[in-house]
Parts: sequence; structure tokens; C-alpha cells
Amino acid sequence: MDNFEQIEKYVSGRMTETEKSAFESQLTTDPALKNEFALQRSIIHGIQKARIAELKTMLSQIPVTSAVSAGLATGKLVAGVVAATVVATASYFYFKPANTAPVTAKNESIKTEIKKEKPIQPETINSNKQEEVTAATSVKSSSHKPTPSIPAATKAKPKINVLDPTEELTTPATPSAKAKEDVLSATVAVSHVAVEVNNSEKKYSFHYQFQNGRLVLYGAFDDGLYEILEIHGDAPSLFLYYKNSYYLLNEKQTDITPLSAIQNTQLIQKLKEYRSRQN
Amino acid sequence: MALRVFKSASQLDEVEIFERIRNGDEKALEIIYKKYYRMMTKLVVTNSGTEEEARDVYQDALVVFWQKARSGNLVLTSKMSTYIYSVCQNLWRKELERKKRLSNEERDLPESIDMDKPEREKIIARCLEQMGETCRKVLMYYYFDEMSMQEIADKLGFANTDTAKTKKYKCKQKLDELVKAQYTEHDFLD
Repeated sequence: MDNFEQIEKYVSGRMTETEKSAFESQLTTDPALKNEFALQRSIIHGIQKARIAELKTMLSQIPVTSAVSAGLATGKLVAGVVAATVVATASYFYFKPANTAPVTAKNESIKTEIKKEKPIQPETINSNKQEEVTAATSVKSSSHKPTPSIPAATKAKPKINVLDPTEELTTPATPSAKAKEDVLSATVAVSHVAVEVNNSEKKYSFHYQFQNGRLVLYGAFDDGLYEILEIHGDAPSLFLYYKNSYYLLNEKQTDITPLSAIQNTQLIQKLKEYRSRQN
Repeated sequence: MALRVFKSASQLDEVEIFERIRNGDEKALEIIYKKYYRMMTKLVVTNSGTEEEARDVYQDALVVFWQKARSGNLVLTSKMSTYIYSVCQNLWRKELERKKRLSNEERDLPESIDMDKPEREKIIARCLEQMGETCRKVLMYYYFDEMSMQEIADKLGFANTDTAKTKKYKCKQKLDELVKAQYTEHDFLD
């Protein structure tokens, strides 16, 4: 291993402990090595600093909700469109409400809450998953409210006036947790399709596209709520609900396409029905 | 027929996101950044920091998290948010201490002591800027993200690890030359 390689290995933290101590003792006796070492260390630190700056610049370009205006409901981030996936078995109940009155009544109490700016805690979702098992056998009373467990870590920490890091994430847990008791024999699953809002593109004020399997919404979706509905019919279809209008989403649409509201009143009526099950 | 309402990106599985970050997926880092922005910046803002400082601390914390996760040295025993939060706390505590020290000693310190290092950093940053995009990426991925040659080859679309190795070697040599041209070795002695 020549000097250059050694220095590099040392500075980039790729040396073993033995190599390290050997190198360090060599440094004390070899001034030329020491010089080169100082230079290399500066250069590598420089590269690292440049990368840190690059990453920070990248992060700075992401639109976020200001912490200062946090109390207001006008965030830029529409974080949570929560939901349960009601698959297969539920369809029976949707279309035969008269025959299944008690079940429908329960369905109506499904509370899939849409919350702005408040990401849902993963635990909540997990608990929904667990509920899959029990949901089929036990129908819980709709007055039952599961208490989200707040981790012990929320207790105050010393010195700095500490906020509870989980508090924000836990807040919406109650409403979404409610959903699980109402799903009956239906399966609740977590969807894999991700939604991203991009409001940095001036050109696209109300558009969408599918990009690598994720839905990208373009426009000022920040001051409203959006919901994505999927209807499993003969062919699965995706719809966007936003500010009292419904929009058809074509999953094969990889180009940025303007969103136009659905005019067909029959279809709108149907979609309304589906949505009301959720709310 | 059934109804399904999707979850937004912010609820992607923790594990999946962490895995993506470990694999150097910057998009995943962006998701995290967005998701915890309010929570993390609030910590600083409610502890006598400005929004600006809050953002800076949070970004620094995420970079630390990124590098730790990348290097494979981080085993998550708690949630990502808990980990990042504690990094934010430490960084902000340090910053508060630094501020306090500064106000105590204030202008007594001769500037040159601390001015020396950032100056070198600037020179190296300038030299890096003179290099091509690929060279910069190779060097950053190798020296900061600690990617293997295989990962670098995959990420930058090189034919194989040999290409990555050669690239890295040549780019580093070029950078060394640029830096040396601006500075005599003596300037880098501590």
C-alpha cells in the first residue's frame, strides 16, 4: 500500500484498528507523509462538506409547512389521506344495503379521517392490520374508542424544553383507529400507491401523472384536502376527490395531464355514495 | 366492487423508507424531511431558535442520519423520528452552548484562528465546482456516502466496478492537482 492509498483509507475511515494504529505511529516519524496526510485530509473533508451542502440544498427545495404557522390549518403539506382498503367481501354489503341493514348501519360509521399536516403514526396502521384477524369474528360497538398508546419516550427529557416527538404523529390516531372497528368482515389493508403533491411547477396548476407507480398531483393542493378512491369493479378505477369534485385518474397516464372534473351525474352520485361510506 | 382510499406518501412503511435511505435513495430522504419537518423544527423554535436555525438544525440532523444509515453503522432500535429528534436535540444544544460561549468571549478572539479552515473549504469547493458532474458525484458518493464501487457503478450507470474505480482514481487525481495548484502543501499543515 503506498502513501496515497494509506492516507485515503485512513481518512475515509476504511482502515481496520490495527492498520490505523500502525499508520498513526508512522505519521509521527515521517514528515513527508504527515504533509501529504494534512493535504489529503483537507481535500476529503472538503468533498464531504460539499456533499453536505448539496444534500441541504436539495432539502431546502422541498416545500414544507412552516413551524411558525403550524397552528394554522393552511399548511403546504397535505400529509395524510388515510384510509382503509375495503376489499372484495365488502362489495356485497355496498350493493345490497336493504338485505343487510345491520351491516350497512355499521358501515356508515366508518370514520376514515382526512387530516391535514398530521402524518399518521405507523403504529396506527399496524394496528389496523392486526385488526384484520379479529375484524371478521368480532364486531365492536361503535362507541368503543381505542386509546392510542403513547410511547414512554414522550416523557419529558432533561434540559431542553422537549416536545413530545410522537405527539404530533399520535394525534390523528384516534379518528383513524375508529375505522378499524367498523370494517366488519371486510379486509383492511394498506395501499401501496403513494401520492405526492408538487406545487413547484408553475406550468401545471391542476394536473396529474403517474410516475413509477406513484401518483403525482400538480398544483396548489395545499389548501384543500384530497382523497384518492379506488373502485374495484370490472376494471379497477381510480378517482380523485377534491373540493367537492371528482376526477378520473388513469393509472396508465405517465404524462402530465390536466385534471377535469367528472360531469356524469350518475357517476358522481355513485362516487358520493362510496365516499360517504368512508366519512 | 370495493372501495379503497389510498394513503399518501407520508405513510409509506417506516421499514421500507429506512431501507431506501440505506440504499442511498435521496427521494426517501425527501419524504422523511417533509414528514417530520414541523415536529423537528418546532423543537428549535420553541427553544429560543429562529425558523431559519430550526431548518438548519433539522437538515444537519437528517444529513447525519443519512450518512449513518448509509454507512450501515446505524441499527434502528427506535423509530426513525425518535432517532432524528434526538440528533436535533443534541445539535441544537451544542449550538446554544456555542452561542453562549461566543457572547461571553465575544470579540476578544483574533479572527484568523477560526477563519483559516473555512477558507480552505471554500477553495476545495471551488475546485470541485470546476470538475464535471460525474466526477463530483463519484467523489461525493465515495468519500461521504461511503458507497462501494458496485453501488457507485449502479448509481451512475457505469459498466462495472473497474470503470467506477478508474473514474474515482482519475477524478481524485484531478481534484488533487487543482487544489495543489492553488495552495502549497505548507498551507495545509495544521
